[in-house]
Amino acid sequence: MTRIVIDPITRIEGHLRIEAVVEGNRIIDAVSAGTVFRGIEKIVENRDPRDVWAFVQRICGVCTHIHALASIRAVEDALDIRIPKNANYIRNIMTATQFVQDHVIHFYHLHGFDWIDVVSALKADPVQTSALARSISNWPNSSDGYFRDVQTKVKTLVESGQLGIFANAYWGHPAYRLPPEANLMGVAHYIEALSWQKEVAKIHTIFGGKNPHPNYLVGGMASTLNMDDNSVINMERLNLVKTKIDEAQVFVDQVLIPDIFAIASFYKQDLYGGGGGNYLAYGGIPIGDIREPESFLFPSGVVLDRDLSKVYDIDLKDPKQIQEFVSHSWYRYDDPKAGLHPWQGKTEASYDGPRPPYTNVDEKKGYSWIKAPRWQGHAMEVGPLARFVIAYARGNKEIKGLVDDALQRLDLPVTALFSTLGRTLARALESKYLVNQLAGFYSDLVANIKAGDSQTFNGEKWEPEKWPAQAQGVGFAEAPRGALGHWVKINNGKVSDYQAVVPTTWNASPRDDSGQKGPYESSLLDTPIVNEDQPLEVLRTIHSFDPCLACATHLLTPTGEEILKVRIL
Amino acid sequence: MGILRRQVYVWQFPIRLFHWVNAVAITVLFLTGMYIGYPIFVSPGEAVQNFFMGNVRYWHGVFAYAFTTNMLFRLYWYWAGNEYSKFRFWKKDFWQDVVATFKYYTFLAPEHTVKVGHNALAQLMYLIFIWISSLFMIFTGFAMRGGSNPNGILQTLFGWVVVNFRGEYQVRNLHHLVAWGYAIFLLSHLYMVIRQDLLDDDGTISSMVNGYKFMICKDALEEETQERLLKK
Amino acid sequence: MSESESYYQLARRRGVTRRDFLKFCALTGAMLGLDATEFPKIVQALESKPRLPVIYLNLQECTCCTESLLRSAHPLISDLIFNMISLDYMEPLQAAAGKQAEEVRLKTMKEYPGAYLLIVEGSATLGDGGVYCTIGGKSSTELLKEVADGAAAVIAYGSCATNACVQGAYPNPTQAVPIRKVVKNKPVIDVPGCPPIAEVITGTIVHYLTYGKIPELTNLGRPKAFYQHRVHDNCVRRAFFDAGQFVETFDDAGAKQGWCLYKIGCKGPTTYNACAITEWNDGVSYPIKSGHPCIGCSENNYFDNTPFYTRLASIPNNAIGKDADTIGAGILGLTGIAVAAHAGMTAVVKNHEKNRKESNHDKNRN
Repeated sequence: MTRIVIDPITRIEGHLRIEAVVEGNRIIDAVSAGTVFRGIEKIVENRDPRDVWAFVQRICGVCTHIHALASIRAVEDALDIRIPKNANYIRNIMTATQFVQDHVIHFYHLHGFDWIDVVSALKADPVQTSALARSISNWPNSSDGYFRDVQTKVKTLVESGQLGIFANAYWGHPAYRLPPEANLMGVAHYIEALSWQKEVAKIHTIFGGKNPHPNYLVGGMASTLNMDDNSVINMERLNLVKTKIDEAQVFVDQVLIPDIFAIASFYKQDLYGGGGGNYLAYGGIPIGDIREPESFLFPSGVVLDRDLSKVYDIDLKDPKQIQEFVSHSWYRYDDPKAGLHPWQGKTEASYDGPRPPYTNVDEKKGYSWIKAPRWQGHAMEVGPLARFVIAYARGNKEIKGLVDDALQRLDLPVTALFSTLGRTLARALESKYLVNQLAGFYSDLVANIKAGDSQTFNGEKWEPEKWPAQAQGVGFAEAPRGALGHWVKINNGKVSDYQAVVPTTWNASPRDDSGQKGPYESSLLDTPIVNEDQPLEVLRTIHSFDPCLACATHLLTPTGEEILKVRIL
Repeated sequence: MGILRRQVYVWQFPIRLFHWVNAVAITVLFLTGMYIGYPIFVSPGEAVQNFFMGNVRYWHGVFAYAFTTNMLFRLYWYWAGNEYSKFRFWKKDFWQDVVATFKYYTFLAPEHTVKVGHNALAQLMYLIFIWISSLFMIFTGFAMRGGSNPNGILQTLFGWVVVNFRGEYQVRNLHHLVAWGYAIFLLSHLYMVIRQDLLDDDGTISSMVNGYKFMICKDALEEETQERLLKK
Repeated sequence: MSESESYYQLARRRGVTRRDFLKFCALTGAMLGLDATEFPKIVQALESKPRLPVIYLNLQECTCCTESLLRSAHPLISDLIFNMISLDYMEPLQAAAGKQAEEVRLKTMKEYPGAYLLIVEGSATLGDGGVYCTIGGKSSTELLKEVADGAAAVIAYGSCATNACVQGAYPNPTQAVPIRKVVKNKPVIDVPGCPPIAEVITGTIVHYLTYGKIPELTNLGRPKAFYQHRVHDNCVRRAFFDAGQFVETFDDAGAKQGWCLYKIGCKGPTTYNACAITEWNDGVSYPIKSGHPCIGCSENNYFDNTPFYTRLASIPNNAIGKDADTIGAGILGLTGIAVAAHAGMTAVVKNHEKNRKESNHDKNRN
């Protein structure tokens, strides 16, 4: 039995540590620990609620806009502020843009090297690579000369001895299953996606002024619309949005989706990493208003134990449903075993872990800066797979169609979704689902402007004098990484309490008082490990969740079993 | 009842000039400054036809230079001027007079030490409200102006100020805050001047125009004597 | 560029003379406190080793800076990391993980002492012995010191690294501090912003690469090329400011004509950044142009100089707790009351004195 430690987990957002216990080439226990804390929930206390979005937006620069959105929704919920239609369309465009951009970055730049072996790409035949690329897609960059150039580029890099970001990785690991040609195609698309992602982000820049961290506004959007003025958002700006939407559509259809199917077809026997099997989604992207769940593009709900026949409803305001526990986290509650609903939540740091530098965390105490959120006591997985599982179980036609079609193409059963590969597949299908919607949102916006409505902001309750002395609200959204909720309490015009329960808090949560593992931890169980020195499979599964540790940060689970040797990786 | 007085030439012309230039400059600077901080007027029409804020900032700048030059001139006059253009806070009687005058103004003492020029408390107030705060305003003000031309002389001379406040926001905020000191000073100053003029009947107000104050004759200070003289 | 060049070749191609190159090497050596006999080693290292080795540390941050770096349009990020520099360690991008990642970092530190560039995203944290951010079981602040020790120069990239950003805002629970507070023995280039514009950071890196020295800095320690002008002074809405045309509330008639956002809290007048000139995401827009006031994200303490939607002068001074106008007008009012009271008191006292004198006269006469 070996205990392996991977810290830092790279190609994620933030700082994550994984310790896994391996026996007979299988993981039998795992611990995940978030190792950074910033205390933003404390910092926003006593601030103007209209400002808070900017603070909490800085929870994460990869998710970049979604915390701001959840925050303004929380304040709008507390103060009962209704936003104009245009503001909702713009928010939807920005949200869908973020999903597509983020999913592509995740697949190629964070997750890609778990599937694609760069060094193997050197052995590829560019002519065959070209043939492969053209057989799966109409994407124009697919000539043999093009792939030869890419290969030369990688070759000179490798031969220079300075491999840069490619240095010292698990190249040649037996768990890589792609032929050299597919690897070369993957590397080429890695570079192309790097150039493309900055283009689609321009949609954020137009409406939010910048990306990362575009600007938001309680009560609507600050980006004024006027088709008859050249200083604000006019047809030229909207045309740029439309152009980027069209480009995104092409990229997803001709690069991401064909790549996913090509890669998945080589990995479809690797169906480990399913984990606990409980899925949760708050629902989101409202076509109408956030108060109209029936208009959501993603339905909300809970699926327990992979049982698609039953979907439970979820209520974010019910103090019994969503609770956070801290018995294995570095925080203090009055009752250490209690679970607190976010409105009652506390963020009081209380570190009882090992003093750095350390080699292992002590799982009997707290071991993570992440709290353990639970839905009615259950650890829940959130993210693209959770959204798709719930939409599938709810019978959402479009999503069901996408999933069934994909499974049929890969010749896999529905249960194959509950795996590392399923998570990655769901994320790609979600990109497809949303990029299809983007053009629709854009049309909605243009049609509404055409109908004479150019309002983007509702200032009726802008001034604090119009607010009740006490108010509380919850703002939620589906973030690229899963269900996101912000809970706010406002007291005499100032924030008195603030809690964010973010997707990675759900996924990376440590154990709770009853010993129930968080989704990362349970998903690692039973994962085969070919080479303990190179735990590629661990990275693959952890990356399939798209961890975002600045958002959440802490996980680790040990058992009391004997550990023969500790190996730091 | 009457009192015998003699005319004393207190405020030399440069001092009076300084005073009124200062008064006008501070008034203009305060009003334009407040407008810059809180622009309440809205210009109609196209931007190109208007330059209201631009002009306000321009005049704020012009008077800032006038104000600064005036202050420098006054510094020079400290040495060049007559006895009443100086003050010596390092002397013991200065501080004794501060205490005495303070007692007088707080009704703890019935009479004050009669000074031909300023009393020590007044001088102290000028030191704080005119000299120290103006030094602050000049440095912070020019530091902000300097930002418009990062390679210019103002930036070279005053750029360090921003660094000391860890950024320009704080400089601006404090510049605005200290500006209120002038309004507070003006109110107190006007009150004190009028009060002085009324109570001591020494021509304090007109002295800043013609330079002369009217001082009670030294040998006639005694009330009895005066009355006797009057009876005759 | 199809083949990899040495750092020296790259510098030459970009117009740096051999003489300047040697001077740079000597300066680098001097900064390290190396003996003059060591200089040839640096020269040789940079001449023969292909690309400038770069170590990029992510400390206490949100990774928005990394994301921004990826958005660079000129140079393209792929051009930067594959052709210009050797990005040996950068957690969000590098393929290796765990111990293998650490090995790469240690190798670069060992092979290029005094020659690698260190880019730091995120703040250092001093609270509770550094437990608020650990990497590989080590306090990230210690890690920073260790890596900075052998670096030629340090770029503090983003507002976390230059001013501790949001985690440094009151009450700063983790004692987050800027990189400058921890790294004192190396030249530190501050590149602030939350995040900085992509082309600003890549511009700074390529400047260093091309001219072989750190760029000229403003008196706040930031590259003059990007931070010497106020956003306000180059703002696309500046004409409306000068005209005196201001947006009063969001989406009002003024807003629909793109008027100045000064009165709804724009921090452009006190913010030094390239937003209004370089603009964001390959010159598409920047916050003010898109209708939202600048929040001053490149300035120190910008999260404490709030609320955001209040005109500059009305923002409470965070040292005093009230805004300038409230304090000023308040004290002025108190002064007015005091003046009135004093005038009244004077009248009473003088009247009393007069009466006393008169009664004295009467007594004397009697």
